[in-house]
Amino acid sequence: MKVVWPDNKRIAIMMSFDIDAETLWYQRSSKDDYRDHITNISRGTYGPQTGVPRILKMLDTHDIKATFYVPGWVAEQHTETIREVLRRGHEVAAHGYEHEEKGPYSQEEDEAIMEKAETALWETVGVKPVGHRGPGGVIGDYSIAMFYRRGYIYSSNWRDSDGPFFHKIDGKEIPLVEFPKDSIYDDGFYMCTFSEPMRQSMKSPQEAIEMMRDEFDGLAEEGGRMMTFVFHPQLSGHPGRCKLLSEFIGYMKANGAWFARSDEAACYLIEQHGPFEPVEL
Amino acid sequence: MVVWPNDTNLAVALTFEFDAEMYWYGKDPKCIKTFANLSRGQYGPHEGIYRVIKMLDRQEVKATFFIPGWVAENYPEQVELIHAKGHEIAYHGYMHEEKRGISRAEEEERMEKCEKIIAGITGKRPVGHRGPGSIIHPFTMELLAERGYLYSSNMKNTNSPYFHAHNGNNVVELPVDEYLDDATYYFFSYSPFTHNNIHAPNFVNDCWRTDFDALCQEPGSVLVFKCHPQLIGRAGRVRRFSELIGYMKTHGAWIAPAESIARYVLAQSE
Repeated sequence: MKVVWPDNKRIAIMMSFDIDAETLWYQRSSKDDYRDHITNISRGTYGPQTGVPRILKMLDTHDIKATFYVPGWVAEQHTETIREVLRRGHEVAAHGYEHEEKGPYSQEEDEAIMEKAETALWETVGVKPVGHRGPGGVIGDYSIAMFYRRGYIYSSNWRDSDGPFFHKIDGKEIPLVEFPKDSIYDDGFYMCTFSEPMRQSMKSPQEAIEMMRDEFDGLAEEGGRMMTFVFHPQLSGHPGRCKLLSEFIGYMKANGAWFARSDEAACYLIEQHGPFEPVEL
Repeated sequence: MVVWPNDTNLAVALTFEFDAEMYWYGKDPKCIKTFANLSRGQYGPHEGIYRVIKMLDRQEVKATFFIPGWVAENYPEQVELIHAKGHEIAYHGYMHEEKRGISRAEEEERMEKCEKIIAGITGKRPVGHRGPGSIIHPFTMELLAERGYLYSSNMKNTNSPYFHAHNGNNVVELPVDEYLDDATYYFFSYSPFTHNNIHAPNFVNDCWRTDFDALCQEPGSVLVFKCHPQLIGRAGRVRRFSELIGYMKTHGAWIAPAESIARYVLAQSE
């Protein structure tokens, strides 16, 4: 799909942060009953407690808005943090209830998780999410229809192209945009953690930004493209990482980036598309 | 929020976990049976520790050494040298135990034993605590408060000091971070919990210096390095770390043992 971004900007940048907090540790440990590993859990707490405030301050410096994918449980446990995210003008989108990622799930199971996640976001911070990112990227055959039926206007789950594109049902495009992502935009890849959850690769903040900047330069040159990220405040919210991310944002701003919340970008594309053919679910 | 002394921007604690072979024992007792791992552990007391001490002398800074009781008993010469050079010695288990789910009595007994060992060398009981392998227990803070510890350096939830309060006793927390741990960059083994990645010291300095620079902009923060003589004690690594220390001194760091930083935090709060 050939896109022309607002103000003829070269590329759309959707800053995105997954506030997984402690759920990342509960889900990813290979040992049973990780919930009592006090110091590892505190690494998850770092996200909402320290990383998010630092990131919010950084985003304010650049006067840009971002999307925060928030598991329902995190909205319950760290309600004030999520309220502050909203107060500062950012978007809150769906990301499971407790970051469930041990799929594949049956449609019933997945729907139940979505219901629980959406209820939690509504009851804690009054948000009905219009965007979805599956924790651990777990997606089933039924997912597109399910997102469409549940009122989502975008998904950030696919990895098969640089996007953006519209999802289809029965070969017809529906007003459900895909903002693809992958490990190259995921700070989990760039930051090794010695203890659980184990990761082998480790890049300095400088090298990580260099790799993403190369992607930015390449995609910006192609025109009509986008980038979205999988940054975790408990990782990218660390002082050095956040500092270099800030510099990278400055670079992107200076080189033709249109910064937008994901819901904003989705609305823009849906409007640009014009009428959609009716589809039967 | 703490204002650091003498117009400095950031408190920096250089801490070293002098674990020797016990570093491997705590992870998986099978590891210690591998000669390679045992020998790697001994690099600390045989080589690494001397290099680290010499470097700290050259830079004229004082550090904190967290030392398991077993290591103090088996490497008395090295531990006495650490003390003689004016560095702090603090608690780090007996055999670097990383088992969770132990009883309060067991931890208390271990603390009593190790505090005596350390007091035998330094003339006083340790005032700082770091759980081996980042393991602490639900009752650890309570025990620290009861036993008169000044600080804990275990939690990873923030970048500035805070308090654990128990029955009117305040234990200062000097938080740590996986990315300021030399094991993240230098730990290598073919044993079960493999971490097959060795990084260049310049790379490590890039990471650490960037964090330092960023935290200098956040008043009241503290940066706690968590190093191991058997890892950072290699010639090239110590040299680069020394350069980083020089850089930090030039940019407004207050480099001091964890005990001094904790005392300052407590004094400021009163």
